[in-house]
This record gives sequence, structure tokens and C-alpha cells, in this order.
Amino acid sequence: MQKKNHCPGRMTFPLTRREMLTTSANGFGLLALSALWSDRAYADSPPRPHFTPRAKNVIFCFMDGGVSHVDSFDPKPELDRRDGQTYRGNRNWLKSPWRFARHGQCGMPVSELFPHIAELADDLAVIRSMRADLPLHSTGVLLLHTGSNAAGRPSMGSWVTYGLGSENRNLPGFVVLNFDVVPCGGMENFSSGFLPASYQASIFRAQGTPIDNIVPGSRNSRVQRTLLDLLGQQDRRFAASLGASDAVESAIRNYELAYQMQSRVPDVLDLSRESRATQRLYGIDSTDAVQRQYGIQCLRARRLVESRVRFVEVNCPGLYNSNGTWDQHGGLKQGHERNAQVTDRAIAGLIRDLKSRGLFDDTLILWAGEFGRTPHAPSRDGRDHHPEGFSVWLAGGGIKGGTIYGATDEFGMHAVENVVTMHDLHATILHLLGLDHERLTYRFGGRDFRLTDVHGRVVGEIIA
Amino acid sequence: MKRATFPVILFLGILSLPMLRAMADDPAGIEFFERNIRPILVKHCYECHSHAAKKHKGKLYLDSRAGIRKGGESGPAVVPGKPAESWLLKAVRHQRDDLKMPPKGKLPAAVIADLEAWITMGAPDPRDKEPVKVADSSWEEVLKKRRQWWSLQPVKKPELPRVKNAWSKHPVDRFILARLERAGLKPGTPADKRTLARRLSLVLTGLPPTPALVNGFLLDDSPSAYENLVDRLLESPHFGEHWARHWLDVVRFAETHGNEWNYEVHHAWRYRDYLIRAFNQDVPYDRFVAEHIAGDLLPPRWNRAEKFNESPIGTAFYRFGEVNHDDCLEFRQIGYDLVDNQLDTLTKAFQATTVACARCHDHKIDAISMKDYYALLGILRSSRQVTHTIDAPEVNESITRELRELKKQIRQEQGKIWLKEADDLGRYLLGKEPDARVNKLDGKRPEAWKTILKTGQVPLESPIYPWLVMRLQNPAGFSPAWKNLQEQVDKEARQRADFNAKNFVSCGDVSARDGWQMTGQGLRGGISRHGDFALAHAAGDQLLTAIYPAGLFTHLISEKLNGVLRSPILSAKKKYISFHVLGNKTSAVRLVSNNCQLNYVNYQVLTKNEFTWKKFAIPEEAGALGTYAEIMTKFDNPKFPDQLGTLGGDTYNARVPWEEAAKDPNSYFGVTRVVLHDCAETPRVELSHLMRLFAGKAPRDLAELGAIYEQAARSAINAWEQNKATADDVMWLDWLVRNGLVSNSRKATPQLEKLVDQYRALEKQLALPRIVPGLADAETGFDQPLLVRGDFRKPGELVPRGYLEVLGWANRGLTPPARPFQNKGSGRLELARRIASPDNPLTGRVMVNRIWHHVFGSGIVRTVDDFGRVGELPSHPELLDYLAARFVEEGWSIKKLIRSLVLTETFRMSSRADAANTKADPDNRLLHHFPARRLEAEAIRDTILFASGRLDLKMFGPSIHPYRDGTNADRRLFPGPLDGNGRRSIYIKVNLMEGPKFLGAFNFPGGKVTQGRRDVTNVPAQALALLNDPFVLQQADFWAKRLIARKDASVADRIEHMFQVALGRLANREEREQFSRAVSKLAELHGVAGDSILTSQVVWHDVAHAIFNLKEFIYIR
Repeated sequence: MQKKNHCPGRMTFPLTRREMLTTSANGFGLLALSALWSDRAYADSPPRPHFTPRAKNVIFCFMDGGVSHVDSFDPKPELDRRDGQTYRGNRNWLKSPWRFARHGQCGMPVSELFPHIAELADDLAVIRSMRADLPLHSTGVLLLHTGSNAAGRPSMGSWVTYGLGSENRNLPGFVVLNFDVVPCGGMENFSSGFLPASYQASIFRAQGTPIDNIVPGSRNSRVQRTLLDLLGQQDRRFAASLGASDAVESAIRNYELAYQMQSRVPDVLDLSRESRATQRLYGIDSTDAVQRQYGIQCLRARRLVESRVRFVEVNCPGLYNSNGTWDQHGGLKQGHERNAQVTDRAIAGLIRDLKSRGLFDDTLILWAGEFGRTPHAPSRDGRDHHPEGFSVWLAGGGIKGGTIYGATDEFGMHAVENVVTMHDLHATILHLLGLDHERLTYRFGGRDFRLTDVHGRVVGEIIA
Repeated sequence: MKRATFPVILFLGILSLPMLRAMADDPAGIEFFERNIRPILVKHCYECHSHAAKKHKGKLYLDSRAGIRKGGESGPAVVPGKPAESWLLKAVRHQRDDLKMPPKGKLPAAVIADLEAWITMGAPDPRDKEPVKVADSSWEEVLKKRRQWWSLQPVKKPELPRVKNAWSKHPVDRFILARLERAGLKPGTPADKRTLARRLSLVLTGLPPTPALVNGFLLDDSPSAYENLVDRLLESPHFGEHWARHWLDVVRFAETHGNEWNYEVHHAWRYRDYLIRAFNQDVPYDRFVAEHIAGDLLPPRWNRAEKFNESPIGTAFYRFGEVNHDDCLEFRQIGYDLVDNQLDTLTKAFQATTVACARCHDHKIDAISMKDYYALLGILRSSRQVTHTIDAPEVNESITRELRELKKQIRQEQGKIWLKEADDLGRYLLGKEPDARVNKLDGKRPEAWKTILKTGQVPLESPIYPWLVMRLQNPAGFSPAWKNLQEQVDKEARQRADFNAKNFVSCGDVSARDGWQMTGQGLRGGISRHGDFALAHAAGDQLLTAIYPAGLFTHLISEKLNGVLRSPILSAKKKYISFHVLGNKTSAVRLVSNNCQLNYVNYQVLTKNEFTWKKFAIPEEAGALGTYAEIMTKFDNPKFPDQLGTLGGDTYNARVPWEEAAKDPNSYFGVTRVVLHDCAETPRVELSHLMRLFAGKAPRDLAELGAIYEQAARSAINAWEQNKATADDVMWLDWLVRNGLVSNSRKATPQLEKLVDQYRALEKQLALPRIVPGLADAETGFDQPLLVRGDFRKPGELVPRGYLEVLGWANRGLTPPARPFQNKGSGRLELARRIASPDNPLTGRVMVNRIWHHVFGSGIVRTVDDFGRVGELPSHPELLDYLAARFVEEGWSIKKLIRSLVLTETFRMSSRADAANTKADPDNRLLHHFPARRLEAEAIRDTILFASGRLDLKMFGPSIHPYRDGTNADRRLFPGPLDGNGRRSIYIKVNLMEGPKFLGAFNFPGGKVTQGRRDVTNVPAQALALLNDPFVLQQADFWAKRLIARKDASVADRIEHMFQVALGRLANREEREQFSRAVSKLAELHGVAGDSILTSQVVWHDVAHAIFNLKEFIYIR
């Protein structure tokens, strides 16, 4: 199939086995595929970006619950000095239990929580001046995902697939790799909101069958083929009796794709052909089951991006706390260390792997939670929710590596320099994908909606 | 246009300065201004530096060419060609500390570069006119234009159009035909009877017709055969189920609140059942609407069979949608968002109008102003999120009367026993053996006396205190000590009384007189008399729970009965409000601010049968937030089952499914006093009850004091037995009973035991109160300030409560703005009258259009929830008006309307599209054939259950959890049976946190916003669901089991049977052959011998599975 979205002058992807299948399938298959996943995402002429994109895919590592910024990417020596001193009566300043060291040529300070990611400091653009809205998980997670504190809006991944379509007609454009954790704010975080349902995330589970109903009900593929053939005859007759119905025709074609997906989805998630070395890179050799699983999800993310799935979100495993893996009001030391141990190697491995495969420049990696954590606390081993200033980082396509942008005050309390809101972050991500956040609109219930609502500024300073 | 950052930067690198200057006035320069400069100025500067600016700064106007070149106090903002001299550039570059613009933060470097480039090129600027300040009155002008919109015009019943073709006499058909004729098209051919029967059954009931129904219709060759079928289906109880589900989409029905802890919307299923009954009984739509808006304020509509009031159940519709449990005082937005969602649902559901768009500014295109929004918001914010107890007064009435009578007898019997026991008091106090005659019953009592006499320190108010002091005295010191004690008690009593009088103000006597409201069966008796008591409900020997002073108690008859007590809106004149309360089992006391009913701050669970003072700080803005206090029992407490039991609640019900948490229906509270105060302390216990010890002659020794104690107790018991107890008597009785100093056993006498057994048997017969979520009015409503740009931190002028200005005079020649409501309460009743009115141009149109949408697959106005400018125009405007007018004429009868529509020839056309017609009207907007369509999610599932034979047609009742893999208790996701017990899909619980998965694949709505028209997507996930979902496979199995038990003569016969059941028609020869061939092939693949095919489970499983996957199976044709 002709690819229309490639940047001029770039090498096209090597033809994958999947693409071979798509392009060489019989005419019916081709037709079917072009009508699939419906509407615009898979239409004959996929939507074009507004301008030349810097990245084509996104991998969003969602740090559910809120990583402490002052313990990860935003060192605050002032907290060391004030450690234990009273803050507002019943709270005390709390210094970071972890040491920071400078990394890379850029000399970016990263705490010892993330030794592997730290090695890639020259690839990261850390925004230290993020600001969210409310210190609540549900609204925070929704704001990060959908640009709104309230549920009902499309997820970032839905907007991106709506804006750009998908380049793989066998797989959904927006995939969430999930650990059976329903995040705060509900599955609404992955919903297409008022955008057509075809833009909603497909949830791939870490364990068991990756997606609903992908395992054939009939173990015997010849039985299923027999049924499908019978259905095909009968349904075409039905369509004809209506005097040709587009809806019925495309429903018929859905069956062919569904039939193929039964093998293709497990196939793209099948890691058995990945080399030992690759698996090791992601920590899949670990004896720790959770770390192994997170590694598997990250490697799956690469495979999905390689198959040109547009937007892949990797969730955190449900460790520790029902309100988010990183939500350490207590047990900060143990909790953050364990979470970092589970995620650090896999994410670093993902970046290295993308680089070695030439995918890094086309893939935007976002590492972000809904907020940071307070520099002060009622206890000596926990931090609370903190949306007033925190850190996220980006890497990959279009990102100026080794960048530190924005700053919080000396305590890590408030973002004071070059404040970046969630809307700004979204505007920037869309911009890198070649989408103008003010033009990517959808009319619903009487008005044009945007991911960035009526806000948003592209943070040009982190763009290469 | 969007600034194109990168190209411009590159561009500058290439072009030389002279080239840039040459661009100054040519179109390229102007375009550069329009693309890159004007947006910056508008976005970052106009707020303070334009003629429209509210707070103008520095006498600087950047909104005209003259203004920007003249500049402000410092000098010219822009000097063409000279960036270095332009103050604008200095300001945005933050070159000087005293001039950093914009103040909110430095502009991105690329933007500054654009500004520099623009000045360098000569600052091309087309803005040659001085802008005028926009007049404030402009809304009137705008409204004048916008009120011309078609949907706001009065409904006028049109003449029936003339048509050439004699196709049909039905008025609706004539409108349809007239449009077809105008387009040069012809109506399609009629559908055959079988197709019609299936279509009609699915449209009216959401279920396929039974073969018997089809056959009956085929055999009926009378002219009224079709009409008979229509009437039969309209009378089917399943009609209501199907049409109720349509309405549930409109009101964004969900049974949990989502967000983080996914609290239950209590008893939401009762609203679903209410809808089913309403559609089945054909409640007039104007009444239906009024019940939704203000059913709690209307005269009751009694359900005579079930003995409850249907009317307030309508108000449950406000209560669905997502609700945040967080602190509404700290995060005030939560309360406004919640009500915004109600307002949005209200106006979309009944008026197809997007009023919520006017939250931050006047509506961009429709005739809705911000004032309209806040006039409505005031109504809703003045209303309260409550539970209604809907039981008729006669429910439990006679049992309650009998129980009261029994209580009287129990009291007398118990009183007699205690009077005897009182004779022993002195002995016990003196540590002597009790009188065996009196005490033969209860071996525990001597122990209880020993315990109380051993106690070291007791508070002064305890009746035993004087005894404990006096028993330490030697005979010589006894009298002086008594005198001292008396003085001490007197003094303390005075001090406490003074302290209480000085520091506490009663917050009313919790009766209606002071604006308090109470509901619930447990509070039907009103304020109790001193000495009333509750009987222990458990099966054990304990007789009384306790004896109480006068107050409101929900459990004086039974702990099964509920109650809610609500205060008027509190004022912040005093710092605190305190409640003298007791209660147990997730009863709670709380303050509600800003209508946030899930808040966990200002919320205290009651977990003890002992009075304590519960104190709350009244929020400073209590009035504006509509803050009120509420005490309620379990099922009226929105935080039950408690997701956060760890915050001091009852842990027994935390994070378990409702049905498990609710197994024990008992819960109660009692309240005697509510006070307001500024001091941090709560009222002190007063000492008047001790005075009876000091009233008579002073005792000279312990023996005499013992006699005084005996007398004190005896008088209390006497008074109690005769139902004349005072508060002081109750103090004594409570002390005796709680400490086990008198007997408290149902077995005290055979007579008592008999009475108590009778009581308990009767109590079991009490019906549990029926409770629904809803809205209620406070005694007085309040007006809402307009919030500037929708920001609650920026309150503006007060907007009187009222309805949309544009509808105030559209029809009736009322003088605008006809807005303010006169009603003292929230104004919902007046709102209901405005909306449920024949004069409202939208109400009738919107509903007939919704009905048309469900009958014909798409509305006359396809955007069923939006009749505004963004919505589509009606395809047949006269028809819409005709139907709306007739709808009102026929008493707002939904059934009559539906009946009329399905009796049209239009409805009875074949679904085969004619090629020529389709070419002329590809969307079939003119209805040249009946539009085939996919079934809704629920109908797909129900049809599978119907075909398999698993369908259980039981109606009503609590919902069934949807199937899921496991439990996620933190999110209140509990797994239900795979087949939902065979119940229709409307009885599957709608969990906001995670929709039912199988239904979700077929566009089941999200439950957060109104969705009168569902998406109909076409995605492979649907094929995967029908191919592989365990529910579908299970049902194929179920059907196969039934099939192989049949005595079919041949494979062809069996296929014939399956077609009839599943598709409502016979298989043709080709189909029989193809299916038969497939059966043989399947048998072969499964290794089933030819002669055992008819009894092969695997083979028929596959065939059944195939049928479930037929498009025809999930389509209405």
C-alpha cells in the first residue's frame, strides 16, 4: 500500500512481513482493509499532517500515581539544608533519600533511582516546570490523558490517530499496554470521547490473552473457515436483498480482518523471535516477575511502533497502591526504589533498541505522571500529591537531547521559570507529529473541541 | 492561521534586510502580519492594551496601527524598520526589569523573532481604523437575530400537503410522499408480513417475535391483522423495557459514580424500573418531564399496586454522571462541574439545546446568553442532592401501630419488674446481698453493681458520683461532707448551665418550623418523648437497646427503617455547628457544601449507641455554597458501601458489592440537640438530674443515702412506666440500664418474653423502605452570581433564577425578559411548568423527533440532542410540526404517537433500496425505503439469549453485575455471571468505571453525557466479539443442547426451525442447501458420523454460532 505520510527525503521503512501480507493479499483483502477501523483513520486517503512531522509515533510511558520530581530529575540542595525543619506547622521539609549525579555530555543531574535512564541523559529533554491543576489522581490522570479534568474527552492517543490516521491497517492505531489496572478517572482515560469509537485505545493486557476475543472460539481453524465461508455467502445475499448496503458490506469485510487479526495480533506481540540480547536489554531476563513483565510491555511497544502503530501507551504495573504505582504517601524509599527498578532498565532498553533499529528519530517518547510529589511531608518517608511544579521528560523524534527546560523554585515547590502546562505539553507533542493543536479540532455538541481546549503553547525550546 | 515557526526562521536567514523592507506594504507583508503578528497581539497584549480591555494599562493601545505607533508613556511601541527603538520589542525581550511583558511570562523566542522580523520589514499593519468599544447592549441585538431560528418558533400545525399518488391516507405518509414527489421519487414497495412482524417486534420491544406471534399474524387475514399485531406489541410489558433503555441514553444513566472510588448511585435501578412502568403505562410526556424536573414537588402519582409515589423517582435523572468525592471546599470547581453536567443533561434531554456552552461566554451561535446559564444554574444549585423515601403513608402503617402498642405493654411489664428491682438498690449500694426474691433472675446484676462501685473516677454528672464521694466519709464527717458536696454540685451545675447558655445557640428544634426537613420511615413519628426506647433487634436475650431523651430517632420501631434529617442553609455567623448524636452501621452526620454529596471532609460516620457531640467548622461562605447539615441512615448515605472504611467508618461494608454490604439493612441514628457556637468546646453535660438527691432531707448516713437513691430511681421508673418521664428521669434510667444495674432481659417474665417474641415476629414483617436518589428543594433558594469566564473565583452580578430568555416570550407574547421566578424554593417547579408546556416550542418537537429516530433509525432532525445552529435542519419540518402539535393534542401520549408512526405505509415499506431512488437521495433522508439498521447492543445480546432459549423475561429489580474476569474492589468492579442470568440487557448494571464489555463492542453509551443518538461504528472488534466472546460461545452451546434434544426429522428441518427462531422467517432452498452442506462439512471436520449429526452437540454449536454471526440476525430490515 502506498504510504503517503512519509517525510520527503527519508528512507522508507523496510518492507515487513506484515506489509508484504497486506500488499500482496488478494483484492478482497485489500478492499476490506481499506474500509476497516472505519472512517478517517483508515480511509483511502489518510489525513495529512499540517506540516512536516518530526516524529511519526509516540510511546508514552505513563508513570501512574506521580513520581517525585525532587527525587528524580529536579535536585534541590535546599531540601538537604532544611531537612526536618517545619513547614506550615504539621509538615517538615524532606530531603531526597537519593543522591544525584551529573550524566552525559550535557551533565544532566539524575538521581540514582534511574541509573539506566541516566546513561541516556544526552537524549532526554527534561521539563522541570510542569504544572497540572488539582492534586487529585482522577482529575490529574484525565488532564494528562485528555487535556481536561473531567471525563468525556478523547484521549491524546485518540486525537493523534484521528489527526494522522494509522499506517498499519491490521492493527489499531492507539494501543494501551496495560496490567489490568483501571487508572483513576476510569477507562475514560483511554476513550475516544466524542471522536468516533474507532479511535479509542485497544487495551492489550500484560498477562493472559492480550486483547478481548482475540483467541479463536473454535480451536479448529478449518471449522472457523467453514463458518466464515457460510457467513460470507449468507451475508452477501443479505446485503443484496437490501439493494447493496455499505454498512453490511463493511461489516462483512470486518470478519475477514478479524479472522486475520486472530493470528496477527498475537504475532506482533510474540517476543519469541527476539534475540536473547534484545530481551536482556529490556530486563526480560530478570528474576523479578514484575520487572520482566514491564520489560515485555516495553519490547511490545517497540514491536508495535515498528509495525507502525501510531500511539502506544505503556502503563505501570499495579504495585503498592490502588491509586497509582508511584503514589507513595508512605513507604517512599521502598516504593520509589522498587518502581524505578521495575521500569528503569526497560525504558532505557527501549530507547537503546529504538536507536539501534533506526526507529528513535521517528518515535517520540514521553515519560510523565499526573503530577510530582511534595518536597515536604507529614512523615519522614512519604510525599503527597504535587501539581504545582514537577518534571516530565521527552526523547526521540524532534527532541533536543540533553535539554533541561524550566525550573521550580529552590524547594521544588512551584514551577517558576518557563512554566509548561499539560496543554503546552500536548501542543508540543502534536507539533512534533506535524499537527497544529489549534487546527486539530472536532465538532461536537455545538462547538469545536481541541486536545488543548483554548490553551496550549508549543515548547519550541526542547525541539531540535 | 497558525504561526509557522520553523519556515519563518529559515526564511529570515535567507532574505536580506532590503528585501524584507520591500515587503512592508505589499500583500506578503500584510499576510505576514495576519499570520504571525496579529494573533500574538490578540493573545498576549489586547487583554490590557486595547479598546475592549476591561482593565486598561499604561494608556497604550496596541489594537490599531495608529495606537501601536504612537505607543504609551515610554514612547512609540513600534518604530517601523527600527527594532532597537521599538518599546514593544524591549518589553517582550525583558531587557529592563521594570518592563517585562507580557506579565504572565516571557514569550517563546520564535515569537519574539517574528515580532522583530515584522518591525524590521516596516511593521506592515492593515489596522487603519480606530476600534470602537463594543457596546454592552449588543446581546439584545444578537438575540433578536438568533431568536429567528426555526426550532424556537411556535409549533404551528400545518395543513396536510396535497399529493398526486393515492399511496396512503395516513397524514404522516402524505408528508413523506409530498417530499418524495417533489424530488421526483416514488415510495418503495411494501414489506412482506414476516419481515414486518420482525421489524415491528424489534422496534417496539427490542426482541424478535416468537414463532407463535409470527404465525398468528400470518394466519390473521383480517384487514386489521397488522393493527392487531401493533396493539399486541404495544401492550407487551417488554415495550417499556425497550423504550426505557432509549431514554436511559438521554439521561446518561449509570449506576456508579466513576471517578476514583466509583461509589454507587444508590438504588439507581429504581429509576430504570420507573421508566419501564412509565412507558408501559403511557404516562403523558408532559407529566413525565415535570416528574423529571420537579417530581418531588408535584402532587404524588401513586403506584397503587406497589404503594409508593412514582413522581419523585423522576428526579433521579439529575444524579447520574461522574461525581468526584474530593473536598469541594478546597476544590470548589467540583461542585460547579457537577451541576454543570446536570444542566447540560437537562437542557439537551428536554430541549435539545446546548445551554452548557454558555458557561464561560454567551453562546457562540445559539440564542443562549451567559445569564441564561446562570439563571438555570441558580435553580440547580439551590436544589439538593438527596434520597427520597417513596413509600406511601400506609406502608408499614398497621404493623407500626401494633408495634407501638406492644411497646406500650412491654414498657409496663418492664416497669413493674424494675420497680421491684428498685427495692434492692440500697442493698447493692451498701454491698449487701440482694433480696433473693427480687433478684432470682439475673446473676449478672450483682457483678454489674460491684463493677460500678469499684470504679475509681467517674464524671460529676454520673449518678453514682455522690455515692462514691460519700461512702468514703466517716460517720462524724458525713453531714458536713454532704453539705460540701451539695455546694459543689450546685456551683458546678450553675457554671455549666451558664457556660452553655452563654456559648451555644440552638440551631432550631430540628423540626420543620425552623426549616429543617426530615424524611424516611424511621422518622415518621417525629420528635419522640423523653423515655422512648428502642428494642434490641437481634435474636438474643437483651431487651432494650437503650432509653433515650426526647429527640429524633430512626430506630424506635426498628433499625430497618431509615431516616434523613436535613438543616436549612447554614450561616457562617457562628464558627461551629455541633450535633448531639448517636448512631450505628454507617449512619453518618455531615455538612454538604456546593452540592458535593460524596465529599469525605466534614463527614463523620456514627459507630456507637452513645451520645457524643460531633462538631464541624462551618465554611466561611456557607451561604453562597448552600451549605447544610445532614444526618442519615445507611441507605440514604451516599458513601455506603464505604470505599474508605479506613477513614473511621464501618469496615464491614468496605469494598464489597452492594448486595453483600446491604445484607444487613439495620442502621440508625438519634439526635437530640444541634447547636451553633464560636468556642472550640462543645456543650457540657448539665446536672439537674442530680438535684433529686439533694431535694429532700439531708441523709445522715449511707443507709439513708441508699434510700434516697432508691427513691430517685423509683420515681424515674414510675414516671417512665406511665410515659411521663422527664429528661432527668431518662438520665437515671439510662444509667441503670447501660450499666446493667437493672435487668434488661426479654426473659424476665413469661409475659415479657411473649410480648417481645410478638414484637420481633411483627418487626420481621416490616417492609424495607424504598429509597431513590433525587433532588429536593431547600426551604429557600438563592440566586447565582454570574461567573466571569466561568471562573468561580470571579463572581459577578447576581442573576435571578429563571429560564431561557428566548423562550420566555417566544409564544405567548410575554414581556421579556420574563425570567425571574416567584417561587420561594429552588424554582424547579416553575422550570418544570415552562418546559412541560404546550407553549414551549422545543419540548414537543424534541420528543417526537426522538421517537421518530427510534422508529425510523434517524430523526427528522438527525442531531436529536441539538436543535441549535450546529444541529442539522429537519428533513421534513412541516411533518415535525404536525407530529408535535398532534402529540400535544393527543395528551402527550407516547404510545399513540408510536402507534401512529408504525401504522404508516412509510414504516411498512420494504428495506430494499431502489437504485434510482438511491442515486437521487443516497442518505435516504426522504425515506424512499425503510432504512435497515444494525440492532443496538442490548438488542443484539437479548436476541442471542432469545434464540438460544436462555432468555429470562423476569422484569425489574436490582441490576446484575456485568461479566468480567475478576474483582477490582478498589474500583468497585465485581464480576457477574457470563450470561447475566439470562436477563435482558437493561438489567445489566451500568458501571461508569468500566462499561459492560460485550455491549461496549456495539456502541453502548458511556453514561457521562446525553447521547440520544448512538454511534454505529463498524469495527473488527465487533466481529471478534461475535466470533470469540465467551458469552456468544456459551449461548451457542446452550442452544445446541436444546436443538439436539429436538425430534427434527432431518438436518433441513432443523435449519428451518433455527431460521424461524432466529430470523423470523423460513429458509429458502438455496439457504437450506448451503447450510446443509456446511453441516456435513462440520460433521466431517469434527469426525461425527452421518447418522449421529442431529444429536451432535459440537456440530449444532457451530451452526448456532454461525447464525449468531449472520448480519441479518443483528439487523432490523
